[in-house]
Amino acid sequence: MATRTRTRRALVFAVMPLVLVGGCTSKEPAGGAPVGVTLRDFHITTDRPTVPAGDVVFNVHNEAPITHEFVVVRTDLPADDLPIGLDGLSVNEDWLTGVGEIDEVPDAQTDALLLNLAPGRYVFFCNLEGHYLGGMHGVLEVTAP
Amino acid sequence: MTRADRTTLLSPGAMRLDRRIAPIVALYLVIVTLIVGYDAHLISDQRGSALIINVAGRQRGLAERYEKDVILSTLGVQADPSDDEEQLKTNAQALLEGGDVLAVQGAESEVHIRPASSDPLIEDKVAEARRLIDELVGKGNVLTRLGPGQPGYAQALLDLRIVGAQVTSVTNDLVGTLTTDAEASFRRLVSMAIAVGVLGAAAAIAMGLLIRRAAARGVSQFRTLVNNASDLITVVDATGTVAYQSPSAGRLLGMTGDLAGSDYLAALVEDDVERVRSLFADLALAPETTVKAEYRLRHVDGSVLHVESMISNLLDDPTVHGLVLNTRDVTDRKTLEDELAHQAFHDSLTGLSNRAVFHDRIEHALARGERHGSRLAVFLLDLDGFKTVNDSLGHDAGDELLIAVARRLEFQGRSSDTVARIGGDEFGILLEDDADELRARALADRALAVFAVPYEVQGREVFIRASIGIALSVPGDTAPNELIRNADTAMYAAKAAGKGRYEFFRPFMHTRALERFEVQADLERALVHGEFVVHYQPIVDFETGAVKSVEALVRWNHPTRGLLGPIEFIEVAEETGAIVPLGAWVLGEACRQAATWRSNHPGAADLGVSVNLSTRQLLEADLVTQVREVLEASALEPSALTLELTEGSLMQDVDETVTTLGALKELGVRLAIDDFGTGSSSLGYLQRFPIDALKIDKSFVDGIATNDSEDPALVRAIVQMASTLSLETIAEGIEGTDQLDALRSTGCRSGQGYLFARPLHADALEAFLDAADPAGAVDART
Repeated sequence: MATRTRTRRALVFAVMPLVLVGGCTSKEPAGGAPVGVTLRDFHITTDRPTVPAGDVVFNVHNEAPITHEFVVVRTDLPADDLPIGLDGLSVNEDWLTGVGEIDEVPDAQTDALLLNLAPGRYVFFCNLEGHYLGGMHGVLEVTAP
Repeated sequence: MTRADRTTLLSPGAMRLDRRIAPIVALYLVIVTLIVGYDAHLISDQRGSALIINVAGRQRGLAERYEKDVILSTLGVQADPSDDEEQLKTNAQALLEGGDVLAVQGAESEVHIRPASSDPLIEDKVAEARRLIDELVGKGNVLTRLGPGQPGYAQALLDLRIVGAQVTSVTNDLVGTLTTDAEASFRRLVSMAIAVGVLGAAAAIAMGLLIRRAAARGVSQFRTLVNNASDLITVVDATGTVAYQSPSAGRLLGMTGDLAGSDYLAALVEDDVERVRSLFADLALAPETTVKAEYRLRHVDGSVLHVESMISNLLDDPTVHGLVLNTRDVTDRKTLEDELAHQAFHDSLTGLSNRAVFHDRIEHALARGERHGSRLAVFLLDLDGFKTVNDSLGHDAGDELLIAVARRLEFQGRSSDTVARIGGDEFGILLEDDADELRARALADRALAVFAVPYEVQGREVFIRASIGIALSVPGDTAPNELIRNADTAMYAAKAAGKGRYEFFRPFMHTRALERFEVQADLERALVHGEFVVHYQPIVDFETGAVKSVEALVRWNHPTRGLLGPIEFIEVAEETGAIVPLGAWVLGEACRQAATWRSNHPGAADLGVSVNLSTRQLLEADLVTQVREVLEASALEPSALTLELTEGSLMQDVDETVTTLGALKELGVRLAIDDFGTGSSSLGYLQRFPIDALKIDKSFVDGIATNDSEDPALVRAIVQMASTLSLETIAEGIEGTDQLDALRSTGCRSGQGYLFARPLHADALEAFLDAADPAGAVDART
């Protein structure tokens, strides 16, 4: 799991400037277009397929009985065809452009993630082993404002 | 709380108290008894919780073992997943509704557990765990019905592993929650003990002490249960110094005695120490956080265990003050994973990446390249003459050579470049990040240099070369297949252009590749249908002008493509092995024709015939017998036959070749080295071979009449050397009279080329002999 730990750290650094632009931390989301996200065993749904570029707040509610995570990457790959790591069971985040993530969303709780997103195509997923491949992924199109 | 404990409590200290305070003591005792009763209930509850946690935790290991056994059983390994399947289901059901489960994994005795929790949130987790166990068993049954190689096996294997991973994450989650819950109730117990203390009085204090002892027993019972599972519980400080180590360290790591105060990291495999040390330090800064880490521990007997630890920061928890490691042995799982991953991603012979990985890397590099506008280069490298090594020295030697080539190639790329074995004797290299023709050339040069030094295979020196095809991606290219195909085409172009070199892909090469493919398919048919013909090119004596000999050259009378020269098919025939029957046929045909001319044609009584011998033929075990039989069948005088060999084929296996050539010489035939000067043979070797003649390659003859070339001096040197070794020299490809004059001045005595005649059909050659004067002489200048 060492690689994963490193990957995570890299992602944290990648996210920092975005958060600074937003002017607040992910724990205290301010204004921004809201996207409602629901996590279940083992799929993810959102309440809107597109959102205008700029500050976006993901309100992530975990309806599943167990903890999940929520990772956002920018990619044009199909959501169900992201590169898989050598364990064969989770996405290789090294090969993707990480945008932001919530490490743990405990069951029956809601957490928020504020990101400043440029126009483009974004894929989100839960990268616990077996969860992404079990179907926990989705797409969000960010349109020019 | 046992009966014995209660007896100790009531005597003798309590009984010696002043009778006047007896009512108070009695009141205290009543309160205390009530509290003890409550505590006893809590302790028993705690034991129940520990058992439930143990069963829930066991599910994870069972599921992994079940998954492994299912996979192994489909691979034909003796493994029976049915026991695990039954236990998994029993446990899952018992956790949900209560029931009997095995007390300890692998034991016979059963214990009863109550439902894991009445908390609806935890109930949901337990239900989810049971649902996934059912799904896991379902996937397991699907896979068991299929065998490897059956359609759907790979998907079923993946499905099983996905659900297996989901079971692991759900049980981890469940165990974590149950543990937190149990810890909370343990804290309540401790609070109660403190409350008892506040009630004052010696009896209460005694009771408090008793309760603490009871609590400690509760904890030790908890530990005993946990330790019966395979988990190792360790408490360390932020620097890794052990505060507590569960006794299972003895079973798992062979460590005995009190390990408190020792350095936990000292038990780690050296490469993992710094990583885990910094993980401890990082985690110490994040209160109440849990991380998972995989690393390796060393057993005192030296063996290495792969373990997985859930590490929780409980430094701020007054009851713990440390990092708590819950560690389990995942060596079996790791071995299986590594095995599966290795099989899926590596070439088993060389350990290099395999075709699938190569393909995958190209795909991702293309995607990245598109984002950043950078190009990449795909190299395909095919060994020239590998088949010969395999055929002559055996497959073990071939494998040894492939491994040696792989090792040398690995050192040529940067670490970011991928070197892969694509199959057979074909290797692939992916040059990433801003590849351009200049960088690709540099890498290709380095890769070719790998073959400049001979390989030592089974104690012999083997010279081998490689042809490399290179395809550069064009921005906008997205198909890895096309890039590989282009590199393949370029690789064949490099082979066609003389081997031991590299070519970049150019679009016109596609047409050539197609033609080549057709040739391969046609060859076999052509042999059966007798579509080959032999043409003869005269070799003329410069002094007399007489035709002293003819070189037999094979042509393919192709039904749709017309008459094809050897360049169009010999190489393919060499590779496919068709050269052996084809060569034998040419030898027989040429000898028969030469014998006929010698007996029937006036002036051709001494006519010789030269036949080319391919590398493959030279390595045929029965070559000498074949030649003898052909000579007998055609009744050709052996000294009239010259067998022509290339330098390259002589160098394949020098010792063996010397023996074969010696046997051929004993038959009385003559031997010549063809295309002399183009190969890399050392002149020293020439003395070892019983050679009669050198044929000077056309490339030297081409430049011989020009003043600014070194060729005249070279040819002179070759002729002089040949004469020292008593070898005849024959010049090839003479096209002009100026070349003939220049050759004569070097001392060369005979030659062939368009100046005298092209290769001619047998009938045409006869006419050519007729046109010559009765002595067989032709005037080269008309």
